[in-house]
Amino acid sequence: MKRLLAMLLSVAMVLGLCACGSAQPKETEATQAATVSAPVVQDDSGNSIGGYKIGFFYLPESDGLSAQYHRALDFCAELTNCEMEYYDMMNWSAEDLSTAVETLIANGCQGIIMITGNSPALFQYMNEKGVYYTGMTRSYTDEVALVVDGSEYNCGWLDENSGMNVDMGYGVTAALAEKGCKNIAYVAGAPGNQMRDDRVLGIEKAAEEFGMNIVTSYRGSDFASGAADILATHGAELDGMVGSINGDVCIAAINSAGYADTIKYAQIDAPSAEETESYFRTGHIDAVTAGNNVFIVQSYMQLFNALSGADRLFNEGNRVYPMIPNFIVSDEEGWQSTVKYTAGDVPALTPDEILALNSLYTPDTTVEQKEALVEKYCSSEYWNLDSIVARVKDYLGEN
Amino acid sequence: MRKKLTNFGKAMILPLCVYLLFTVLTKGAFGSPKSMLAIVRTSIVPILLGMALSFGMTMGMWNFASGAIIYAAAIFSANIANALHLGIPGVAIISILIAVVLNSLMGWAYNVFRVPCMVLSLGFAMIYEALPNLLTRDFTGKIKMADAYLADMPWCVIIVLIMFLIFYIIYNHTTLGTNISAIGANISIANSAGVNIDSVKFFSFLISGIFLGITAVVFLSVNVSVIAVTGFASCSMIFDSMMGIFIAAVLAKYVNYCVAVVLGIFTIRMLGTAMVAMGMSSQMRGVMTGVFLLIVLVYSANAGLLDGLKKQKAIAQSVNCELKKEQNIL
Repeated sequence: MKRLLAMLLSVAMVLGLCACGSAQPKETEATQAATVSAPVVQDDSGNSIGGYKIGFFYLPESDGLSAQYHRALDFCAELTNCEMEYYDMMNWSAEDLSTAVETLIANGCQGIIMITGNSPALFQYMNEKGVYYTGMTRSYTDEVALVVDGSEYNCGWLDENSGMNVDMGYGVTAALAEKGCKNIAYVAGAPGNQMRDDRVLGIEKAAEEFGMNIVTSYRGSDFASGAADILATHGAELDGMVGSINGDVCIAAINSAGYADTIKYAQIDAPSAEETESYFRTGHIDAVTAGNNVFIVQSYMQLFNALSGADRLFNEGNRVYPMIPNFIVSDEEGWQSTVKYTAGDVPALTPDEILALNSLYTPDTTVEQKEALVEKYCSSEYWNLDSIVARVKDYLGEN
Repeated sequence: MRKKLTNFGKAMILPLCVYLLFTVLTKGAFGSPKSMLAIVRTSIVPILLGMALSFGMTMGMWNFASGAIIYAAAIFSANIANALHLGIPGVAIISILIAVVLNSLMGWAYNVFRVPCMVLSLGFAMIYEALPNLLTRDFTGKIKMADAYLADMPWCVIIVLIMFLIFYIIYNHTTLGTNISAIGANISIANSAGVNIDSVKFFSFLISGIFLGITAVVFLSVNVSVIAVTGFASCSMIFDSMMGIFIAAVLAKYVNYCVAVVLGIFTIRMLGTAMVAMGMSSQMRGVMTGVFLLIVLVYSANAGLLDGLKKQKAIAQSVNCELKKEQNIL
């Protein structure tokens, strides 16, 4: 009996090992509500373009930003007759990243969009398996460059070094300054990660420029305790707080501490769409960044161009390409427009704008013209909420 | 009565020293009444968790799955209660049930397999961390901000007072509590005295499960949304409570153990908050907390040495005196 029980417990623990670290990857059809359609394009052999399986690993859809990524990628997949496969994860250790990549490849993914991961072994593995990949410059270290430079499977790196994360931190802090905040605190992830450090740099830069006093800060992993401790010791003197985090632990901490009416709060990565709207309405949040989901469309097209044999953009040198920036939203109405026209069924870029980046769909423009188009997309004149709303409304026939 | 007050004063030396030191270092930012009240509020979850852990730790059983049980109970109870529109009362009842079942299962496995609790709990932590990943769509348990009132004053204080009362009564006025203390003091003697070791240990898991369920509800209220973790990340939430229990073992020489647990955990929370108030980095906070714990434990382990040496010296002196007297007589 004991032997049987021991075996049953061992099986249960093995099942636990299988589930630890991830959910099973999910395949998804594009959202049914998306009114996407693209002309069927054929290659020289008469075969229809598309049919590729592209993988993406990130947080589960309960995270607001992740849900936006999924919608945008589903839109692109539907547009280009491809299929997305998602791998949800919460931890970002080297082992977890390797598991994510290996699982996606084992499930037949021909290309992988990466948000993070800088192990040279990871890229070597994808090179050996003949899987295309694209990532962000946070992953493009000197060691990784030795493996990926010149590789056919390297589809390029989104340029974070242009200061996107600095701009995010700067933007939300500036929004608090505009609302009259003078004494602020911030909560951010532990130092040592470029994205986190850049965001803090942006926060501190804005505080200095707008004459705000950073009373204290917390940098670590336990955001709930960190925020609670800040509020416990400095809550009475604060009038603003910035969170370089996701989720709503800071909002909950401010509310629990009884400072919801006195401390204005800005968060870089918004909680889920529904919650952010309600937080704007109740005054629990005063500014968030938005539009930082759309760069995933760029990543998708870089990968799709390579897979489909189309002209590859930004394919010279270290293959770094400009990144569509974000913008700041500081009221409920702005957030509703953001959700509907940048993170809804249409990911802020219309089908024409997306397909204009692929030479099989738009053979009349050159590589240089397409690259100039990307630069145009990244400009502040083209990329702001009003312009985006106008273009998407036009596409949806709402004008 | 006088002795009790003196002993209580001795027990308060450590928390008072932490309070005064950091009040001075932060120039008053840390020690204000409002900040102390906020520390009380942020100590609720560690104190509830500490009470849950102390049943086992008194008997030398370390339960590293407690954090995983809290996560699982919070996530599942939120999802089930939301689906059935049961509100926070539903969350509380379901959370307690789930935590009791999960912890009791571990208690049963402990008695059957005779694996050391620390090792067993690590295995169960892996299983319980995986459960929300396997059984929920988005690995998250959420409640509305308006429903998170259990994290606010005075609800959180009411909850901890009620649970402390239960904790105190079980420990000091029930047979179970006496048996737990007896097993913790000397398991062989307790066994010889007729204490059913297996039964006591299993019931300690069961009772501990109730406390974990309550902790999960408050944890969910504090965070509003709880996302499942893996890779033993849930273990990090139990360290403040465990360190508080180590300190409680020192303070228990002067006050009731139940009071010592609360004082110990509160002291650790004060330390954590004070270091954030001083702007210390997360790495430095970890170092300082570890150093603090080492100082307390080293002092506790060696406090009797000086007294022992003095006694030996006194005995030696009195023996010398006797010898001299005998020699003079002779």
